Amino acid sequence: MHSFSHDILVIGGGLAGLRTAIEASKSCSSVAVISKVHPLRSHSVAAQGGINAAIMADDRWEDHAFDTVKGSDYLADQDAVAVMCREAPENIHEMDRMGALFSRTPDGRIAQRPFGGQGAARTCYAADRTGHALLHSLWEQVNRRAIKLYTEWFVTSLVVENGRCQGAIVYDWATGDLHHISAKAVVLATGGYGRVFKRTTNALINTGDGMSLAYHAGVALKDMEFVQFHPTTVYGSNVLLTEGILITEGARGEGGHLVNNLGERFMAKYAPSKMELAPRDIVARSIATEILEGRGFPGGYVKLDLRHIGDATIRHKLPQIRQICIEFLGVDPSTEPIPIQPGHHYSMGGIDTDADGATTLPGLFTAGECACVSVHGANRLGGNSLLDTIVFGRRTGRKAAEYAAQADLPVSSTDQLRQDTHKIDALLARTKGILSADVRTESAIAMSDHFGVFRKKDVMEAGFKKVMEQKERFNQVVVGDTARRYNSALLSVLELEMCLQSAEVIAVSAMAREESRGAHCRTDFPERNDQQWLKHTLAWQVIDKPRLDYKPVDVSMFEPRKREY
Amino acid sequence: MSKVKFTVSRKEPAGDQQRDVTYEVDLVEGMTVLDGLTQIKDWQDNTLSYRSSCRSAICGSCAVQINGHSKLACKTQVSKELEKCDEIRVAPLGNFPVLKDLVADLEPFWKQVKSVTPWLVEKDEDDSAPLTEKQMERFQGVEDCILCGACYGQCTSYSVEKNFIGPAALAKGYRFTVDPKDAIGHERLDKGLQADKGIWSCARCYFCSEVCPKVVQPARAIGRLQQLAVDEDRGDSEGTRYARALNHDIASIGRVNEATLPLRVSNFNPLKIKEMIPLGISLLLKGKMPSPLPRSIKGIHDIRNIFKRLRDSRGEK
Repeated sequence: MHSFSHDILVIGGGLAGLRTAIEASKSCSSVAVISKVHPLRSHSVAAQGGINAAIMADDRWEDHAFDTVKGSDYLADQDAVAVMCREAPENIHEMDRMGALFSRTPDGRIAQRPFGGQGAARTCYAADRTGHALLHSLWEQVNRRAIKLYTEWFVTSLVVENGRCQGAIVYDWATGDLHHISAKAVVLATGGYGRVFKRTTNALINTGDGMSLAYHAGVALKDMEFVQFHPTTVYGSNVLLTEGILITEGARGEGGHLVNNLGERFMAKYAPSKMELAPRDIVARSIATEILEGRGFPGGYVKLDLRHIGDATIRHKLPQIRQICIEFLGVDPSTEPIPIQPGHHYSMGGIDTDADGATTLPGLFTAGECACVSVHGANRLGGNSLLDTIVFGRRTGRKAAEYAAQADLPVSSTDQLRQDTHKIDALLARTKGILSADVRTESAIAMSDHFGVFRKKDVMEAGFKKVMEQKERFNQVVVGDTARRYNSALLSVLELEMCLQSAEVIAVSAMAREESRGAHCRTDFPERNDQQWLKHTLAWQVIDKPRLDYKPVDVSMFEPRKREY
Repeated sequence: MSKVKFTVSRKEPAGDQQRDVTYEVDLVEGMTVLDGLTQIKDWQDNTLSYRSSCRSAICGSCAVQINGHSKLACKTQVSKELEKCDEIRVAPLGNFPVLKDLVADLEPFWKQVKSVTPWLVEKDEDDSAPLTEKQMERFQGVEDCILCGACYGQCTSYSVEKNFIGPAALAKGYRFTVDPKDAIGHERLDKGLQADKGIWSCARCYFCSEVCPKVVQPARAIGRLQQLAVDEDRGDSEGTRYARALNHDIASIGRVNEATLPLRVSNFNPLKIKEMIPLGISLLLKGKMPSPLPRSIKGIHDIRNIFKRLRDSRGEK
């Protein structure tokens, strides 16, 4: 049981984590990144569509901010949105200088395409694999610096003592050992919780780890009820992994049409001015409505038609999704429409933080999808998540370094280490029980069925009951592999526990919010209610249950108005 | 429900004992090999370990050997495999040590990638310079590489020489060599990429390009690096001299001047010449020493014509 210590410990090696580490390393010589997968396998790599910035001379960051705030259904904190949109252009140029190969206009400038919910074409992109371009560039730059990487190490708990986050307990997958890593500042950058839902664009690794860690450490999770369902995920068999694969909004940005079984471009009914490029929550609800009202195709999907865009443009601008359709669906998008349906995609909610990544727990910071600043409010615009990770990754890196410079190296007890050791020993000792895949599948189906695009009190209550049943059943889960080393079954079980925790908080937060706003759409409370609900939900762990509280939204720039497209 | 046989390579972390274990998996229409592995791990045998994450062929985690070929498990259709074989044989990626089951140790791979200075070295100025379409075309798809390692799993040279820099690393090196914003640029060929087991250790077998799941065509990138090295006579390397000597010989006499080739490749280095003396003597004694003044072949005029046309088309003299 070695003891490790660093000034700054970043948990998560995706865009936010690596951007934080790079920035922190400019002024701090002891920065480490822990990731449960090699950083290049982080889910950031799968982001397709683009990253927004008002870089053109005739565009203004204030317009970008307004689009973002309106897109958020006025729940985003406008001061934080202002920071993000104002700093966006310089962050894009910095990524360019780090080697990110953006697609270019004929005269060599960074190209931009139209994206959902925005008044100008300000989404910078790298074909349709923008996340890949950005993540690889950041990883390349990490290699230049003395940043320590712990790869395939899994964080089981944060160490919190004397009112301060002092480090983390980590499980080394290769050896099976648990270690205590001491740190002056800890940054959570662990991404979203997609696997809480059955149908999700997210990777298998997106199990809400950071959210669970922070929640157990006494930090609130904010706005967890706001779950983004991406309108266009692949329609596939529900027993296969193909289900839910993302088809980027960029396909609609390049002119793709959504059609029902009558061949109608039905978005004309729901968002006549923006059509297919209305914000995601609106498009997802429109598709769900078409399907519910019998205008979908057998099995429950609609079609995304790219044929009129032409093979040449598809190959040039959307090569990756062309590959996805051909390889996973046997469909060539230049000759056949793509079957799609809404699926979970993004977690607007997350660990409560500010525009510098600080949390209410001294020593603990957070950035990226696992954080909730909030810049996305009740609904995120496409292209703003990649921006969020880069802008706030940079700011959090600076803040964490500032903090670490004046903090003492903590002295911790071995309590948390012993607790986690005992927990893992007990899990591995159980020889009979319920298969974790069973609990995972049942809980994910319950969340997708009961907390999806359309929500209603009695449906949610039934769903919550199912989720809590699965949480109970979790206590009897058997790992199925007693080995110490390379025990992937154990990791699956630890991840499942974290998923169930996020599921519970999402459910409780959703049941409490009695209005419809952004992605949270209640058929029993169909109107937005600013009088009573223009506020953020905070969920705290109290003993073993979430306790809800609320806090105000910053509306200093734009007055909340009715949201129409 | 029809079944399909999955024969999966298993190995415990300690020790070298590898064994094949056969599982019966439900055959679902449209299923991938990763779907099969997931079925096994979730419902039949929790002890099976493999890497996977995005399941949509972009993260590179699940590179393994499927029926002898390096592939991404998540995008390999079981039905397609069954057209060629009657079962699905899954093994860890070749040419790497095995940590457990289908989990290969990719540390040697990351080491090779890091060895090519795989990052943009910015030029001094605050460079937000434009990048034209033409300049972007230079990259030729190497920027699509997801560093999955499949190419190394199939690489002929890497399988016998673990110091060979390797396809993905050299392709990455190529990317920065031709990047107009890179301060080192073509000078990356001066040492790094033409290091002892660099671009000239490639066997030109094209297996890497064949198995690459993202059509990166690393073999083409390596070929272009070799071309650049030859065109610009960079790096004082044997590989460059060899290519130039061959080119010169065939253009002038239609055949290789074998007697002088080694001398020219070594650049008349006395130490290297000294090493060659025993071989030279042995050849002489056996009557196998080639003439240092070989005659041109018949048809040399046609050959010279071909070269002239090639040079003209490239705008060379």
